[in-house]
Amino acid sequence: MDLERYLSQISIKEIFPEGQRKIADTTVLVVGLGGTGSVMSELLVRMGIKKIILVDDDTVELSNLNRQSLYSENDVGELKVEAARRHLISINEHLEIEMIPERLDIDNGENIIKKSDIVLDGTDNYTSRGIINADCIKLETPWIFSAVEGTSGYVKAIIPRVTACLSCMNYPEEGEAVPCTVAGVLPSAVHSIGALASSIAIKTILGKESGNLYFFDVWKPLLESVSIERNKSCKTCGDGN
Amino acid sequence: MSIIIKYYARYRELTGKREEELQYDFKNISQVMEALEGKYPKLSKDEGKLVALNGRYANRDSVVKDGDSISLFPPVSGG
Repeated sequence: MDLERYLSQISIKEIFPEGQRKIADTTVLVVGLGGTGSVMSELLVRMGIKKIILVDDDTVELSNLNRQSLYSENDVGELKVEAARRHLISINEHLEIEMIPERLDIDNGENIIKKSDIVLDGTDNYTSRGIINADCIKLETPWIFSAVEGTSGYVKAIIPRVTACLSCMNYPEEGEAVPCTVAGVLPSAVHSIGALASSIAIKTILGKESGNLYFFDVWKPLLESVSIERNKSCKTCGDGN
Repeated sequence: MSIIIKYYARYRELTGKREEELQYDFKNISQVMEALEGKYPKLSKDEGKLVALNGRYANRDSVVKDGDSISLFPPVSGG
C-alpha cells in the first residue's frame, strides 16, 4: 500500500485501519462515462482502487465539457473510454484499466458485470439501469444507483438480497433518457451526486452502507434520506427468484 | 384528519408549492395519490413516483394516519 499517497484518508476513522486495503482490492465497473461516471471514476481512482473497467460507446462532444470532468477540448470526437483512460492513467500510472467501448445491454450485461466486485451507475436512461439491476441481483454484485436532473438527484446502494433494489421501489425499468441538453442539469449537481455516490460506494465496499435512498438538491440546498425496506415478493430480488 | 404533503425537485414547479396540508379522511397512499393527481393532472403522467411516508418508502397500500408527512419525489434518469 502506498501510505504516503493515501495518508490523508487512511487517518480518518471511517477508513482506518483496514479500509484502504479493501478499497485497493476492489475491481470497480463504471457503466456510462458522462457526468456522474466521470466524477465517480476519478474519485475512486484517486482513493486507491487498483483496477477499473470502463463501459461507454459514446464519443466526447463539446456540450459534455461543462460537467464531464474526465475530458478536455482535445478529446472532442474521441471515444470516451480512450479519453478517460488517458486521464485516469495520468492520476495513477499503475492503475489497471479495461476499456469496453460498447453500450451495456441485455446481451453483454452479465458477462461485463461478472468481472467486477461493484458496479457504479453512470448511465442516463431507465433501460440500462433495469439491466444493471437484474444482472447484479443475479450475480449478487452490489451496485450504486445514481441519477441527476436539474439541480438534484438520487443515490442508493443496492446490495442484492440485503437492501431494496430498483424494482422494490417501482423505479421505471424501461425508457430512454431525455438528453441533458434538453432536460437541463446543473454541473455542480452532477458533481455533487457523483461525489455522494462515490462515498456510498466506499461505504458499500467497507460493509458500512445502509441502503437508504438519498435525495440531494444542491440549489436549496437539501439532503433527504428515505429508508426503503426490501420487498421480499419483488419480481427481481424477491425470495422466490 | 390532516396530513402534510412535501414536494421535491420538479414537483415543486409542477404544483407551485414546497408543501401543503390536506384535510380529508384518507385511508391509504392510493387515496392520497388519487386526490393529488386530480388536483395536479400532470402528476399522473409520471410513472415511478417515489412516495415516502414519515421518511420511509411507502407503497399504494400503506395506511395513512392523522399528522402523517408524505414526501413526493419524481423519477430521474440523467447521469
